[in-house]
Amino acid sequence: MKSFLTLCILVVSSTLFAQKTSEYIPSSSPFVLGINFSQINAKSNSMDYSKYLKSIVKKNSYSYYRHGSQCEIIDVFEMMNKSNEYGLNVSENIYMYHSSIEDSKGLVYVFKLNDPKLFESKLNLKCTNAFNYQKRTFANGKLFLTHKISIAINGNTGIVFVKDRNYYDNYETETIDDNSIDEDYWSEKKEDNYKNDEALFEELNSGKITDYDAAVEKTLNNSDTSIEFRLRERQNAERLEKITAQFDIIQATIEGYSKPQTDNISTNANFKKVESESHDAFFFINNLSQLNNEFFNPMRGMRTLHYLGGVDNNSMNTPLTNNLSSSYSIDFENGKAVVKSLTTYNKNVYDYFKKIYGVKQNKHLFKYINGENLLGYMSLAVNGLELGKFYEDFYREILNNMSMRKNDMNIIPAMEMLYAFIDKEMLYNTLDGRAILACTGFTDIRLKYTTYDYDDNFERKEITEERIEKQPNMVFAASIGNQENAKKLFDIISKFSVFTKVKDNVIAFYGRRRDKINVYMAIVDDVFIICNDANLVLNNLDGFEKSKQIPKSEQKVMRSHNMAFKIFADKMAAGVQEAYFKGDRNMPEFAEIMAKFGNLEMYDEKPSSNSYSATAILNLKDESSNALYQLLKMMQPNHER
Amino acid sequence: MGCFEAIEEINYTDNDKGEYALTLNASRSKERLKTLSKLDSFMGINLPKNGDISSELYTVSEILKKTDGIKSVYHNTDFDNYIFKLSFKFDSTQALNEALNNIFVGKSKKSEIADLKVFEMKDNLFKRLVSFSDTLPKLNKKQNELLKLINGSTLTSIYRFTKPIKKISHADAKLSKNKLAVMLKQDINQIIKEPSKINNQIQF
Repeated sequence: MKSFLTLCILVVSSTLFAQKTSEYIPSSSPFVLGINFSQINAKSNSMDYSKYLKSIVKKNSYSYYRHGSQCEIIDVFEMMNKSNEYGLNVSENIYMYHSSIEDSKGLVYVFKLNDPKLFESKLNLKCTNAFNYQKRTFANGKLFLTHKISIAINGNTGIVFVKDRNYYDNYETETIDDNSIDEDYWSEKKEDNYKNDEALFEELNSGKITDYDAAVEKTLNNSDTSIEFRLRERQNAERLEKITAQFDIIQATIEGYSKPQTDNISTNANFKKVESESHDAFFFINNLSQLNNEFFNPMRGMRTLHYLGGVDNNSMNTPLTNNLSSSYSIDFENGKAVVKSLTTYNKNVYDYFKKIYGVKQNKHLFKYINGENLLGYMSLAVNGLELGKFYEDFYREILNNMSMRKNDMNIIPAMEMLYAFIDKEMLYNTLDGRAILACTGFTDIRLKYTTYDYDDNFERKEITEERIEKQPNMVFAASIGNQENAKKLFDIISKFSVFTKVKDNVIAFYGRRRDKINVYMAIVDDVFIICNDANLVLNNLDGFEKSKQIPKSEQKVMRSHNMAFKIFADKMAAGVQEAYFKGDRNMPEFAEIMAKFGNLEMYDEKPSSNSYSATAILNLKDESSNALYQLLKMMQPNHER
Repeated sequence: MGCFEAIEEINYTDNDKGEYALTLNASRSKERLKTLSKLDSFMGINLPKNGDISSELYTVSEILKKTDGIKSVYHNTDFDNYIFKLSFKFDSTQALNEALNNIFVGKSKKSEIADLKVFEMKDNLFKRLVSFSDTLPKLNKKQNELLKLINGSTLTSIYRFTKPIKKISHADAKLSKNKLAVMLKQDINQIIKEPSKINNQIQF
């Protein structure tokens, strides 16, 4: 009974207190990619996705490094692609993140192992040269160190660290002088020379020498050749010491990675949420960490800044960027692929977001969108003035906190001065931030082209003929905030010679005579329109009649979301097929793929006090099988499909 | 991708001397070509930039200028209408063949290429021959799919002579009213699939 209880306690505690893989990731990581291969493998249904995986696995040319390719102890892509064969536990996420500890920067892969021994057996440990590869141990784990890739196995946790190639980081390694001759060599050599000179002198004085050259040769042969050997030994020892010191830095880094982090990424609310939702894959961006990350700093690399006195995190003033993170997840379900974005922020940001997103789409815009053959639309409704204010404060904060050199610091006051001169009402409220862009079908346009005619004797004559081409009807209708400013701007634009006044409130840009591609601009009360549909601006400036307007169901979607996007796949495919590939110019491959797609849609949710999210869904007509399998099949060459 | 028409013209000014002109007119598809010219590749095909086309034509012209019996080499590019022209005068049909051969050798990646004999003029018989059929690789399924992109493209061959024509071997070829010219319009996809369709013999 006692042993049974002990067993129960062990099982329960190992389950409850098992470390999650994400707890090994420091909270300061600027980005994290998580992939659940167990889900991906099941959903791909044995279809090969390796070429897509390859594009996300870092691939540095090993020849880029000083020490030869014989010490590439693991092929990271193969490890990810054949995770089961490497003993990885794919039921948990495999994570990839960037780490930068002092001079040791690179990509870290962290994963759980089902079989640590199998994983170790897959490592290429043929390299025995201690200059290129060193095996070490630490508390409970093993380390396999090379200059590029280093691996730690700590219990059932595996860490692969792919070090970035950086000139400064590798400078020391590359400048170790293998052939420097030290003081010991010279003093030993000097002593040896004295000894030989003395011997020769004594022999000469003895009067026994008959062949002088032979005597010199004999003396030289008595030189101590072990001096060179000892020099080489010392040179190698010195080089090994320096390389070992470099490996010590890598060891400190990777050993640190192979233990759960006290301040780990799981403490981030955004990460915690996206991790708990068990997505097929997700990408997390820690916005604040990026500000001081060299990859994302447009000013200078951090190493240079370090010496010039950059701004450190502790002195940052971050009322808006503090706790700001974003994540993007993807899930493949039966008949659809779903991409979600989630931005989390603090209460200061919410104060702005409440005002920015506290508006609804302008109803007046709907009447200018012909819904009879609507192929797709994008609707955006934000408060432009408030958005302008937010971005001003947001980017000022980012710039203020960004490490930069002394001269670059003038950028901020220069921008502030420029911004002070700008008429915000004109910039942000002429068009108030609410707009719809729609494709309302295809229309015929006549295009001229050159061809040839032949007379009875086949003499060639150049002629111009016309053909009908389909062109998508595009309409951009934007809500006007300040009508007086809008009218003023419209009147100024009308004066440009490229425009022709069609009506008081309509101007046109006529493409070249042969091309017949015309763009119209119109202004009606609180709506500004840009389109290529002459019928709209010439005959329907009061709006299309209600029965022709964008359907009520779509109007409702646009009114209830600040951002909404939809492509009606069937209509779009039919339209494109009819416009570009009809008759004998049919493209079966194109048609075949298009026929499998359902609608593509995207919409956001009203911002909550700490987060704002949006969801995009790619629907497929076949709802019986997984979207990943279907998409991979579509991406295959036609003959393999 | 769009269709184009290629026009190959030979004007004989005496029994063996004349002028050759090749016109490639893609004006009908110019809008699509303008759009495509902004891309690097389309459906796996690397698309040439305008500069690449000009450079190729220039190279061909230079090859022609160095060929014996070839003179008055002229080329023109019109990227507004996508019309490209190349013409030159030849002293003999043999020189014309050598000119075409030099272009083929100059532009081919193969180190050794058998002499091309595209045209023949002998004993009151003019022949348009296919001498490149063996150099055309068999099209795979993917290449066959790509051929659909140029559906509707044509090659028009017009040969004008100084003496009246008695007989034409190609059933689709037409004889001019004055009996001094022959015109043959063919689908380029068909020629690619079956190069022998280009063969034609004209007897005087």
